[in-house]
Amino acid sequence: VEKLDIPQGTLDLMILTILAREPMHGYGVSQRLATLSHDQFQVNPGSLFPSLYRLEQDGKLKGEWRSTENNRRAKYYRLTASGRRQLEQHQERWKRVSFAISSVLEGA
Amino acid sequence: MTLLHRLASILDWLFHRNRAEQDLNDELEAFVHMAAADRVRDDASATEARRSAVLHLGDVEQTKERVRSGCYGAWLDEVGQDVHYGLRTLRRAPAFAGAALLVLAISIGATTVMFTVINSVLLRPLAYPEPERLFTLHGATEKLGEFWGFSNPDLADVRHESRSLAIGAWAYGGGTISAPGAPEYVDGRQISAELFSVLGIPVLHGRTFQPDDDRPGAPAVAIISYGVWQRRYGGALAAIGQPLVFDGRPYTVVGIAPEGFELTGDVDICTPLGQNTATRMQNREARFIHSATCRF
Repeated sequence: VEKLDIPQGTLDLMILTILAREPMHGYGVSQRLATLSHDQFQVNPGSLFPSLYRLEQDGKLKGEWRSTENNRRAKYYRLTASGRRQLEQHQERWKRVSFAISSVLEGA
Repeated sequence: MTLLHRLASILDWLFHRNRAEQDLNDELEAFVHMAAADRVRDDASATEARRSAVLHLGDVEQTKERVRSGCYGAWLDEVGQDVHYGLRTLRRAPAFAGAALLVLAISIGATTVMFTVINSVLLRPLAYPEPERLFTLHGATEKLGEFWGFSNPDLADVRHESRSLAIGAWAYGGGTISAPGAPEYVDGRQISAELFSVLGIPVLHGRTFQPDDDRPGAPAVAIISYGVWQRRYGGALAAIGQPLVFDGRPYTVVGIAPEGFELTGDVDICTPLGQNTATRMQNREARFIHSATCRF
């Protein structure tokens, strides 16, 4: 099945949403994204890591090295307070956008 | 907050770049391992799983580059690279580089000179109190146009006719001070008695010239500069009233000019203009008086 392209500007929102539940490493985020989207979305590492690094630099995420369940080291990202605020704002905004779009589509 | 984070990350980039690179490498490596482990669970062989995981990661260098270029400090590197590139290009074409440098140097120099002149002539106020009330008189005839200088008879006439102006004047009068101390050629001025009060500045010590000093045959008196006072009299107050030999004539020091005093250039000694007995003092065509300085 052909995967969907991730709509522009929504990757950050999805990353923040996933990490709001629990801290996770990059691979975990990509797996969780695939699962949660019923395999419709598959994020390319070439897009995921730049987003993670950018969010970390902006202070929305904090990365720290920890051991995985398989005793490997991986960089886990968790939401900061500022990241949580951004998530709430973006979620609110996204709900309005998607409500507006479906209203238009159904009204047409 | 966000701005602070960005500044911090720029500093981080500058000082911990190697560690950041290492972190990124480790992180991508961990990604491959975890992806491979999942694929082994899906019954692939270890080698096959790793191959597939690496494929899934895609172009590592491109990913790294995209991460790096997203870093706020990255533009510093780009600037550095641009500068290096620029220097290499210049080195390859030295003639062009030399010409460009020369053009830049000349234009910067020209602009600086222009600004210096405009600043000192037009922008910066004169270093005297109430400079807006000061001006200089110039003569002019229909035949010859405007003169920068002024003749003594003309000056006397202007003084005679003027009701509201205080008029001072000075002319160049350099010469040799031969005592006290070693002979030395100095910049001098012959000034009218009013000049200091017209300019609105006091002498540092002693007195300015009085109208009585400013006529032929009066006792020869001189005002010396701060520099001459320091060099020849050691800055002693007793210098007032001391003798001084200037151009072979004995003078008495009556005043010390304030430090930094100048009249269109350095001035080491002032003598009274009115004591000048040269014939040109009576010649209306001899416009040797450099400035008729007025205050209203």
